[in-house]
Parts: sequence; structure tokens; C-alpha cells
Amino acid sequence: MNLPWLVLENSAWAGVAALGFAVLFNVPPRALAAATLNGSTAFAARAGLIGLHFGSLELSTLYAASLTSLLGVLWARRHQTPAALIVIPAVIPLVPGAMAFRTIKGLLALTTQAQPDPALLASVASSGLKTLLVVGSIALGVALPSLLLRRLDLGR
Amino acid sequence: MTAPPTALPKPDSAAAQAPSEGIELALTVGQLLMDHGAESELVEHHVRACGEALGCRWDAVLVTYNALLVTERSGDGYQTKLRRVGPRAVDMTLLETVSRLSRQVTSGQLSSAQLREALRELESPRRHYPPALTIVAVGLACAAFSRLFQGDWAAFATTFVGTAAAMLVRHYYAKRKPNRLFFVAVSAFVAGGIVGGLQTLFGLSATPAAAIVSSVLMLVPGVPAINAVQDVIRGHLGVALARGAEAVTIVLAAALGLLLSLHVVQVPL
Repeated sequence: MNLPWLVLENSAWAGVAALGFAVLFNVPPRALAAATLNGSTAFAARAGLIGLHFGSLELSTLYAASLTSLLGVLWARRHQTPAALIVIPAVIPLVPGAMAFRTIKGLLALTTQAQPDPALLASVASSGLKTLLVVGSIALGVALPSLLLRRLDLGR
Repeated sequence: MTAPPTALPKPDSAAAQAPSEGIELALTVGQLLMDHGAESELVEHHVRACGEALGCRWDAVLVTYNALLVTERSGDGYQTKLRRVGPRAVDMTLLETVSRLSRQVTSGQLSSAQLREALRELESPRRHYPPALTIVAVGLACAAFSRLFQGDWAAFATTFVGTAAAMLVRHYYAKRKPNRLFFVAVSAFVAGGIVGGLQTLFGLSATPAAAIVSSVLMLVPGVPAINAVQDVIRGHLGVALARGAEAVTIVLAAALGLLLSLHVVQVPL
């Protein structure tokens, strides 16, 4: 499958994921469509940037989360409501949950070995740090508009 | 440390009555925000702004992970109040409503009595979506994750079933107010056990790992993790550390439940 199609399909699934979290977080119905669309955009932006070799996963996440937050702020201005309604559910699919689980699984595997495998240790350290950095990138991206405009109510 | 309180206000004086009502209301605003997933800076902002509009002369407002602490100058003395807070289900509608109420109080559109009435109504928060719909939506969300991890359609279906079952268990079990971490581990155990068990019994999916990992992703503490970093950025390091620890322990609990279930159903991940 070619890249644009794959990005499109995956961003649709990311939208479904964002929608599910929006419902879980009790986002009001009037904001559901925007949250779904914003989730798709966030994922497409990240996947697109990585696919174009624009930057690492962490940097691409930072750009994607900033874009998501900016779109959220613009939407929030029009609708006189906090941007978080459509920003938080949208960035949740970017959180590297599977990587976090892999890190913990690796940590547990390390203790079962008589001689800890250096390759495993390296992969645990790498996926653990990557998880932290990606979560950091998401939060920084989310906070960016309100930091730039020095207005607290924009980010949240 | 600042000077200790010199004299307590007379309880019957009007000047002492009004602020203490304002303090209570401001603390309730802060507590609702903190409990349901707001970052510390926002909580502090609303406690300050709301309290000032209600006549409080703040000496200090402190947000910590499990308490809000305020000191107010009343007359020639001080009064300090501490309100316990603690993480509960993320509720965006509640956050929106409370910050709107606080803004209305600050701009003078809402009186203290009206705020009290509005906050009382929030004691039984409004859910927009019935439990069945939430279970289906979260099931679909996790199934969508399995597609993102290159899972096949069998993985999609089993993820949906596993996640929905875990959410169902959560829904009924939540009424007993269980230990939070244990609750997360049980949910992961149910989801992983069902997805892994279906795989062992029928072997439908060629990508069982995608299904197993996806089925527990609704437990990933995205909001505490993001809030932790937001708190670091705004200098609330204590709350940030606690929230970071909260996020890490939730992931650990979920991983523990998942790995136990996989051990029981004998599926390698």
C-alpha cells in the first residue's frame, strides 16, 4: 500500500480512537465531531511528517500536537469554550501506550534472565526514554499556544 | 514562614461570614477542577480569581496533589482551610462548566448564592452518554488501535470484545469503590484474558500481539501524564512528580494484570 493511502486509513482509525476517548471523558456531544476530526488530523500530521522523513517520532509528535492544539484554540474561539474539549481526546491516540507496555514487559524480562541481555537492556532503555519524550512532546505541544499567547484559558 | 494568626475573627461579625462562604465556594471550584483532570495552574487560577470575586483577600493559595490549601486575611487575623482532593474520572463537561461558572463569578454575572446553587447541581454530574454507549465507543477505540498496530480483522474483533468486557466489569465494579490500582489491574486482566483466551481457543488472528496490547490501551493514563508535563512547564513540580508517579503506577498495574492474564491463558506476547 502506498504511503498517502496508509496515512489516510490510519488517521481515520485514530479519529475513531479519539471519539472513543471523547465519549469516555464525557466531552459534550456538540464537540464530538470536532474532537474526532482533530484526532484524525493529529495522527495524519504525525504519520505524514515521519513518512516524509521530516523528523523523529518525538519531533513529529511535537509538531503534530502543536498543530492539534492550535486548531483546538481556533475552534474554541469560535465556539466560546475551552480548547481542551477537542484537544485532549485528539492527542490521546498519540500517547505511546504500546511502547510503555513494551518497556515494562522488557523490564520484567530482564529480571528473569541469569545473564541480562545487553540488547534487551538497551531496548528497554530506548523504549522507556522514547515513551517519556513522546509524552513530553504531546504535553508541550498542547501547552504551546497558551504559552505563546500568555493566556491560560486557551490551553485548557 | 509568615507571622502566625494574631486574632481570630468574631464568628458573628458579617465581615467574617462573607469570606468564609467565599473560601468554601472557591475551594469547591478548585476541588472539582483538580479531581476531574485539570492542570494545577488552572486550578490555582480559578481558586484565586473566584475567591477574590467573592470577597476573599488571599494570603496564599497552594495546590498539592491531594489537597488544596488556602490562607485568607480576615479582619486582623488569618484563616486557613484545607480541602482534600484526589484523582477521579476525567470529565470534560464538568471542567467546562466549572471554569465557565468561575469566569461568570469573576465578571460579576453570578452571585455567591447562584454559584452555590450551580455547584450543588454538579454534585450529581451529568453524563452525556449512557454506559452501554461508552462501552461500545471505548471498545471501538481500542479496536481502532489494533488496526494502527497492523492487526488483522480478527484482531479488531477480539480487541473490541476484550475491551468491551473489561469496560463492563469496570462499570459494575466501580460502584464498590475499589482500590484504583487494583481496579486497573483487574480491567487489564479481563481484557487480556479474553483476547488471549479467544486466541488460544480459536486461533483466529495472525496478529495476536496487536490485539492483546490494544485491548488494554483504554487504561493508559494519558491525562495524568499530559497534566504532569503541563505542571512541570508551569512550575508545579510537586504535583507534577506525584502525577508522573500516578501515571507510571497505573501503567505498571495494567501491565501486571495483562501479563498475569497471559500467563493464565498461556499466550506468549
